[in-house]
Amino acid sequence: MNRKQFRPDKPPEWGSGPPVVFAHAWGLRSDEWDYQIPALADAGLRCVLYERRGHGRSDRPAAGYDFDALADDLAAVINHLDLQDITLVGHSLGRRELVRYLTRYGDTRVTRMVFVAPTTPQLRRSADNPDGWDPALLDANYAAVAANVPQWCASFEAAGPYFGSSPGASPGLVDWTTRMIVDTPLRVLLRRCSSTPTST
Amino acid sequence: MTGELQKIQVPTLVLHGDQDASAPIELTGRKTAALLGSATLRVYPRRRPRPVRQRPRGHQHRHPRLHRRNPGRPAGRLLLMRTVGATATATVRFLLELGAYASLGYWGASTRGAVALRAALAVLAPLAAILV
Repeated sequence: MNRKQFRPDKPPEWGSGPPVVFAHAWGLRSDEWDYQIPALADAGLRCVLYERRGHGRSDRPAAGYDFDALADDLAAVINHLDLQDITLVGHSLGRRELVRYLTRYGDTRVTRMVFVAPTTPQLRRSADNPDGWDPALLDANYAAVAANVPQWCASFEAAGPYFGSSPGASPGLVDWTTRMIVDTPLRVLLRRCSSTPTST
Repeated sequence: MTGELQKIQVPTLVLHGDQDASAPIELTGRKTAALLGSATLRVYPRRRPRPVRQRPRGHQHRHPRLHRRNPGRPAGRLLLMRTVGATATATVRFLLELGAYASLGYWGASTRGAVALRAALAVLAPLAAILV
């Protein structure tokens, strides 16, 4: 099936040493780790900058955006490079792939993990998640993304310091991050948007 | 994913900002760390923003929350410098005017000293005004 379109043979890498595999956030691509990679490579780590299907420079197959398929893609990368003693790093949506990878493939190859701003266990309000967000709010957010991604990014930023109010969040960096989301095909954004609408 | 998280035993570092709007820490990071078998939660607190006046023009319009907290007033050292500057200029101005009136009354309006003082005032007063 379409999974064959995903080519795990050449994820970008930087540095050498124990491997660190990065799973980027919804709508972003491996570039989001740009400011961490030089220091980590200098510290003696092999940074494997894999990109989720549909995102960045990966293929854009029509199917396979459920977490099982995404975990299989990650496993394909890990198996192809025969990585051992791995540190898995996942940001936001990326860490859901990591969790599913571990429950599907076990932790024999993985030594440790880093979750950056995870969206687990879930944002949507439900019986077992009573303090979660109103589903109507998430549905409205989904509709806003579907209607106009650049507008959605702009309104999010206008509503408050979405990308952070710290001095480091300069307009240039905000623009760069927004562009990654805008450049991701809408059909891909929406595939994972209904359940985790604001999980960049 | 609650059940899945509980099964994971891999040591995990959870990093989360306490101002995260898209994934509020109480709803996500803190719960995730509690569910995992072996997790360390590290919270990044809100960094103090720089004074509004030092930000690029128009920045505060895109950050209404920030704008509310710092309603356009310079903070810290900048405020101190401005206060000291304004006080010094006001004092100089006051002394100049006082000197002018005193000398006029003492020497009379036609004396040389008063003419010189008037000339000095004509230069210094605008200068003082500019400084203020």
